[in-house]
Amino acid sequence: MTADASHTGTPRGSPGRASRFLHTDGWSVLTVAIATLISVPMLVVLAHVLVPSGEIWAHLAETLLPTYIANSLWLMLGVGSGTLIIGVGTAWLITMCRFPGRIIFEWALLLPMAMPAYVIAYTYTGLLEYSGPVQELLRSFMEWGRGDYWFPEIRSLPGAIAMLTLVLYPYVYLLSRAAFLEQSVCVLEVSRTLGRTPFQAFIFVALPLARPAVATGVALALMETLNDFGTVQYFAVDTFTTGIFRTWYGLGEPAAAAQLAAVLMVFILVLILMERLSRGDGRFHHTSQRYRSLPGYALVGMPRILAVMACTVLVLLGFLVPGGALLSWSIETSGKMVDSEFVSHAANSFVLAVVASFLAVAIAVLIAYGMRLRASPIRTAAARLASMGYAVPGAVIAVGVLIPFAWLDGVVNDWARATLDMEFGLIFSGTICAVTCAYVVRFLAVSLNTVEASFAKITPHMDDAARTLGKRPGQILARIHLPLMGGSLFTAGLLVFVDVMKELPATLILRPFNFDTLAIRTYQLASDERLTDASSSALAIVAVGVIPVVLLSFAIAGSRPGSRSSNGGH
Amino acid sequence: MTIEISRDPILTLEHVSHTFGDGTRILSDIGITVTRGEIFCLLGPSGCGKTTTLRLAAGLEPLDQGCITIDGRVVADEFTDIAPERRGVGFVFQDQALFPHLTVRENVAFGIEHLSHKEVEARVRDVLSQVSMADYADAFPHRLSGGQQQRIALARALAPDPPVILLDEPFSGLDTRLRSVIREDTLTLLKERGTTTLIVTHDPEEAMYVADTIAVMRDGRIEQIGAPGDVYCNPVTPFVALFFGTANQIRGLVKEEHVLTPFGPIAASGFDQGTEVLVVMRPEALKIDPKGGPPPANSLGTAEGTVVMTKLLRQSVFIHMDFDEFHGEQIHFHARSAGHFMPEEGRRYNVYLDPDQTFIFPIRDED
Repeated sequence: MTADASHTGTPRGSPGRASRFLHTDGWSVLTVAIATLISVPMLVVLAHVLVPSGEIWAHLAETLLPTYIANSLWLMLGVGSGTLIIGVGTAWLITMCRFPGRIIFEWALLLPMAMPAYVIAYTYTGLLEYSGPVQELLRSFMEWGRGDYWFPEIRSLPGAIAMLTLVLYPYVYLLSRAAFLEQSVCVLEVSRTLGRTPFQAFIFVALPLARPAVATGVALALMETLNDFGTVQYFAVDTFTTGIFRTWYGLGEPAAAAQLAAVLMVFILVLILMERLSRGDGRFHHTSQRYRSLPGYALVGMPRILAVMACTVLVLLGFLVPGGALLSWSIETSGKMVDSEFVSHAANSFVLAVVASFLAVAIAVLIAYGMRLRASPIRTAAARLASMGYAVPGAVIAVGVLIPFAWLDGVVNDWARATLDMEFGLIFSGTICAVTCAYVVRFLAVSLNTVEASFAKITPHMDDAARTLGKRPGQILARIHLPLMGGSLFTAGLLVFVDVMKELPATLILRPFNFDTLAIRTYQLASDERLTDASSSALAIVAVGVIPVVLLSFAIAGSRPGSRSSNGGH
Repeated sequence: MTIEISRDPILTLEHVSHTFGDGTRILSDIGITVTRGEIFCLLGPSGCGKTTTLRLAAGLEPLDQGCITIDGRVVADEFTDIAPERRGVGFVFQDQALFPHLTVRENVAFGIEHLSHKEVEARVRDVLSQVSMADYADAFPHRLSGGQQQRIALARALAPDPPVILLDEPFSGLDTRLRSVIREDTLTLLKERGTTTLIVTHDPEEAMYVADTIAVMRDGRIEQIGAPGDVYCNPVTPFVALFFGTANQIRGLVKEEHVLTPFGPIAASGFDQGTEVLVVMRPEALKIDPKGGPPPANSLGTAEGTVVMTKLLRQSVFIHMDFDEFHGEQIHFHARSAGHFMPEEGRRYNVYLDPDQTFIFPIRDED
């Protein structure tokens, strides 16, 4: 009822106009209402920036906050530079050079994405701790005893940086690779004819052109770093997420936890802002329309060996070694660990992921269709705000969900006590309702992106044609759009499904009492130092995580303008 | 600028004005009346607002100002805005917009699903055979050629038997040869069915070919409404005259009801002394006399010119000519003569000015 009414500003009397307005306004209200609801948790947390600080907060700010900030900054610095160098370097090797195994590395370099950071952290701890296979082998081989040698401590800040870098560099790799592929080879060749070596052409031409994509990749990796709870918690590197968790559970101080979350939100907002700024004017326009197969400098001698080694080491450390360890431990412990409890945890994970991905896709469809029916600045802003959740750490969203839900429970139970003389219990905050909501808030952007792209492929004339043939907007959605989008909706759901399976901090905070998932099981067994016992559930999560990696490698294969498959699809 | 209503008005637009969200004025005071069985054509260059007019009539754009009626019912005015799905108009889009996941049969049946199964079957069969596509009922749109898709799009719009059908540049996506065939078939079908039609095109030849009435639009306004012959032979503005093809132009001042041209003074009756006018002479107005006899009785004037270049087109010859200096300017005019007479290049000929293709307009600031 916003921009629509401003066209005329006339009184509405006749039933005709009223019904038309009800119609489009139904969608309008729905879109904005849903999008606003989705943003409530983030707004609740942000509002705590303004809440006057209590005693606990003062104590926190004095003692722990500086540690949280310092650790978070070190982590961001380490993971940021690590993913930048590894991601851009591998992307350049893969797109611009030719060396043995390149075709395999092209997709294999994405595999570490399937590893949640906490899983790889547990696995490497299991491998590298004093009683682990590596040190045992070393001792028996060198005939050393305890204390005879120095071995790096994996459970440390540098260890956390290494773990996070290993699984997050694919974000940078993926986006810079796509950016390099989009570049016209002519631009690179011109710089060669102007006297630049291939390396100089990369540094002075290709890299600056790819800067927006690289910045986005690093920003994504940093958001995931701030989101991480499992790794830093296990490595005893105190950051905001562990602080929020401890303040909430250990100290039982929701308000102080929310204030911590608010500070973390400020970090995120700064990150988003920096990403926007570093993108500059957004995108460079490609001045040349000519695309030919990329040159592919054939590497020889030492560079060739180094390139193969670098890629091999990344795939080994990021996926094969931890994956292999998980597999062998799972087989070792399958007798006692793959039991009915495992099955029930897997079922819980599955149910949560299915419900959340269904909701996330359905809501994304409603929001995207609302914007399609009549775009207005308010609708667009609401949708953008709703999809901010992807940047916000799960622990923050958990706090933002729990506060309004606890309040709702209070209201409902007060009312029930007064009028019905009974209590419902924690029907909002104590059920899977809360955790499902948190998933939808956090992963809506994933489904919304896919759904919006899918809508954009359908010409608006389809809608117009269907309407002049007598169909209402809702009927058109059901009869035209949904059938045409089928496959994309499934993909959108699948991406959310996998993210939910891996999610740890929000699940940990919001799951109902005694309701455990595979991620929780992994976390709890690892916390009890039963690392090998945790392997079966961890392996299950990794196996599911491979699915989107496969999807991504298919999608990226044909993304270059001028390549065979880029004009495929409809 | 509403024309005389002779028969039942089916679609009327009165004082319709429209402004886009960014404040651009796209339509100003549009008024048209499409009567029963008439084929009415909105003709104008791209961006003149003709497609917006069509979309307003269908309800696909909300109306700012004015009043639209369909079959005697107000569908949009200050207080009313009937949704497009309840206006009952047929719409054929430039890109056809067939539903790719539905068969031809399902596409055509999409707008008549409220009827009984039997009726739907019969209606689909009828309308498909009318567009000569009865054999393709089970095909999917992507299997069809552009022309076949166009036929299905028309069939789909006609199936609900709407009181009026709106066609938005329906033939522009087709190649030249196919276009004339589909255009002919469509015209025949619409006339046979007696379907009231509002069609939009930027092609004057197409407009003259299909329309009973043409409204020439420019910058969101209607310049002239009339029968094709009327609009072509009696254009009321230079824009209308020139829209049907480039023409020779010369400015002059009216002196004693005459204006001086390279062909001598020609009659400009009804203009005040000293009015600045634009004389528009279509290439067809320049008649080249191969023999050099006396001028025909209705000639407006005569001049001698040198043929610079001749081009044989299909049914006519296009001739570039130089004339003597006029008011200190070199005069280069184009002539077109029917048939295959090719005047000799470099030779001087007598040229007569035909009054039927020569128009005099007062010069206004906006021209």
